[in-house]
Amino acid sequence: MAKIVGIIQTKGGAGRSTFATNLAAIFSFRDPTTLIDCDMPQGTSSSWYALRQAEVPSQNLFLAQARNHIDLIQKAKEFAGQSRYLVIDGPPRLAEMTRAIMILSDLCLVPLGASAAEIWSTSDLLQTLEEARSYKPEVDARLVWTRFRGYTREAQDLKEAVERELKLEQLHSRLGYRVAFSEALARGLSAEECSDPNARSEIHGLAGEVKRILAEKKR
Amino acid sequence: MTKARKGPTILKPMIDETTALQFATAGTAPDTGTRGDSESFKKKPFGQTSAKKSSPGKPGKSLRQISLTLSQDIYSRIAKDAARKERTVEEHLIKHLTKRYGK
Repeated sequence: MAKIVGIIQTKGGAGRSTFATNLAAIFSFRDPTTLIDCDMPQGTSSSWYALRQAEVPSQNLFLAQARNHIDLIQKAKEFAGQSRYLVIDGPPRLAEMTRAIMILSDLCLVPLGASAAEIWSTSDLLQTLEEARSYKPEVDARLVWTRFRGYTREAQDLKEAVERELKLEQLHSRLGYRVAFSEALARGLSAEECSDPNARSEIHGLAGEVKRILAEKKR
Repeated sequence: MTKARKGPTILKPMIDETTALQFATAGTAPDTGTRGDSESFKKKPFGQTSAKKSSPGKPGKSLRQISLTLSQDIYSRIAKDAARKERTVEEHLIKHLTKRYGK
């Protein structure tokens, strides 16, 4: 049965597609995986998929596009039967589609950069997550730091503020501020296939942690 | 004689379509300034087909869209009544339901 990972964040440019494409690529190394792109017509994940299939074609990786929440639910039903993992790349809006992703997903990841703007938009998201739990108590959403520069005072301060203010569990893994992530996206690759050892290590750690969390969830 | 014990249900439905759909269309969080996902799903919520039908005195009132399956015969009668009152079927039903159950 497919495990569903939803990447949600209402702030644009927060790293949703970076997370979605990397997780989809790494999961597909071993298991059939479907990437569902919900940010149409921008379609960053779809563009990445087209590049990837030209560069490193895989029989294990599928792409679906959803244009609204009903389309998303139908695509999730359709592909859940043939995939081990579904990775949903959410839209930068707190609308029907993001709400549907919260309910459909076994695990929602909320990419969060260490900036005030992203933290503010995440506060809105938390309110909706609380609402989602009244429909489905087991909704599981976790923050993941991205473009995190742990050596800066600002990043440390924001991290402490988030831990104090936002009541949302955080993944241990985090992605640093690395060119390798944007380079990988532009080439249809995952950061694990790039030469930067730090990026490889971070994305490998993230995918492993997500898999462990999913494996612990009994359906 | 005891009833045969039914084993526990281990498997949950893989896709909870109903809940996902219900929650998705239940509205967005207040004060987020958000917009819907697509024009085709940005119709006014059930019960708010015109300004006349909205409830300005009750901001933030949650709405739920429902669908009904009726026999063709009943639907025809409702449609005929609605036409007579120069309302849509939806407006006509809302009028009757709110009269019965309150706004």
